[in-house]
Amino acid sequence: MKRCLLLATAMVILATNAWVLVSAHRNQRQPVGGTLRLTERELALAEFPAESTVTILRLQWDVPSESSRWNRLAVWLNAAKLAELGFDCHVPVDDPDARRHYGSLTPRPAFIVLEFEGDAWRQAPPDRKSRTRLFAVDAGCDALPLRARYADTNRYAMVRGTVRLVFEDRNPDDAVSSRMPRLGGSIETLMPSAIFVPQPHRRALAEFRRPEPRPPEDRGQPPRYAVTVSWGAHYEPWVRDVVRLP
Amino acid sequence: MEPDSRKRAQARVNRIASFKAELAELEREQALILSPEQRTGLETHLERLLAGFSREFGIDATESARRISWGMRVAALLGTAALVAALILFLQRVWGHLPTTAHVTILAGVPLLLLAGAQAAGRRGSDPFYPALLCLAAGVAFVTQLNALGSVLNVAPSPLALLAWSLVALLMAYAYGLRLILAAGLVLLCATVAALATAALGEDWANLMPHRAGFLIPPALVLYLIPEARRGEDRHDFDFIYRTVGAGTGLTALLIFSFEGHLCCHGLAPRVAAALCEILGLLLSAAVVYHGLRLVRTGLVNLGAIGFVVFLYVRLHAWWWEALPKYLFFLFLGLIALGLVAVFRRLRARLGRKASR
Repeated sequence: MKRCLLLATAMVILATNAWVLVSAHRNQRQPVGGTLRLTERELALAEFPAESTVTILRLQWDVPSESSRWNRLAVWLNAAKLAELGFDCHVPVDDPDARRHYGSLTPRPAFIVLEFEGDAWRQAPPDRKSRTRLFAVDAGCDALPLRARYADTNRYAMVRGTVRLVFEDRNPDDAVSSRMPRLGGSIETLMPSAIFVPQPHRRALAEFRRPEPRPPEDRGQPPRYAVTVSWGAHYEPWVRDVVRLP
Repeated sequence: MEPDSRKRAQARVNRIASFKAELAELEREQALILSPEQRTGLETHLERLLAGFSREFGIDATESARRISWGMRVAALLGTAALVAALILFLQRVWGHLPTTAHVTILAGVPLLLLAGAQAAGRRGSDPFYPALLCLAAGVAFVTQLNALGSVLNVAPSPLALLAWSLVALLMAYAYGLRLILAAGLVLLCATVAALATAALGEDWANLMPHRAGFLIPPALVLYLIPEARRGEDRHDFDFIYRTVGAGTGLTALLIFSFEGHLCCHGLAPRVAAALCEILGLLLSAAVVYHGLRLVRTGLVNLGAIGFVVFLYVRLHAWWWEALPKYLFFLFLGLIALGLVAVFRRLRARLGRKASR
């Protein structure tokens, strides 16, 4: 009996690993999520202990926003878009029960459209423009209609993420009560938001890891490397190429 | 070797030690005096028994041997933790130089090797602590490796990973009779059900707490009721773990809603919903205490008592914190605590009487 149980344990471990491998393989068969050539601005090296040789890039992205602050409250995530994403927005925002209702809604998964060097970036305020050129410009429950609307796979990437509904009682910029509460939305996270860099691409980035990634005061300098990233059939990314920029 | 045989042998060794101590006391009080022949025969018999148990089951026959065994266990635990840390730091050092195939092989291989180690340790018939320690290490390694594999292959997290972790924990627990690992597996199973239900609603399963804590209640209830429906021998006292995990998970979910009333019972005012959850928590805690008393399980009584006290304090805070001067509030709390101590003393006496019968 014990032998059977141990064999079953080993089988579960092996089957789980096999499932992850097959899933990753199927994802990388076709880059339907898009292929973007991003730079250090959009893919920053994650910090690791000095001894570590692990190389991970973190996606740096922004959203078109009314506020000048660095936040993820997207201007296009209005009540209509939130309802389209599946949030229950039937309670009027001035209803006494609105705060309780909207406070009880959980984030929902969605497909997020990331635009590289597009209108959203061009129209961004200067301080935000210099941080990244990758902007989240749309979201949807279904990937195919989004891809039809944003057909250029070299400019628009589709990724998985989660969207949170935000019930705004006050306008944070004015610091006074706004006349009407309103519904907004923020992109809580992209999944995955970190991209592992395997061999042989890691070698090209090795010199930028030591002694540590670029410090914050150096941001705004020209990027030192460019990375071609594809998002596959499951909208999960992988690194295709890394080059050093002159 | 069957764990039951080892348990029975350990119980016999403990009885022999008690018998020897009582015999020495009776001889000192001159209530029983053995003849030299009787003494020699008895001592030879007991020594033969203890030597046999020690040889066959690796049981500690004396107090000093038991202390040394505990020292060995602590050393093994610390050694395992240090070895795991060494392995992780070494892998971090070389990880970037390895191809993806090596990553996958190493990650999948580590929990399997630890599992094989547990099997080898169990087969040697040594102290069951060592297979248990290796199983725990294998479980932790599987959780870590799956996370690491997901990172290496840039795979988005899935609630099915919780199911895989849960299955591995449950299978190892049943293979070696490990109660701690069974408890971890059952908690993961409840989390799996809640995560899958959250995902089925089209919501983000990773954000199920605190909003969807209610999804933990049905699986917790099922776990609590499984021992009632099960027939047959409970060799490893797993029924207690099922009930404890079921009660603990269900009461925790209710406690979350008693703080966040707006997250449950749509249609009710948040304060009313929170009060309902607190009262339900109080009643269920009392029911767990009652059930524990009927089953003569101190652990279950304690769990219910802790739940009862926590829910009671939360309710009293909601009622009196604003209305009463703070010194009066704490005075009432103190008096209620003393009242509870008196109730628990009576319960303890009742448990003692029941156990002695």
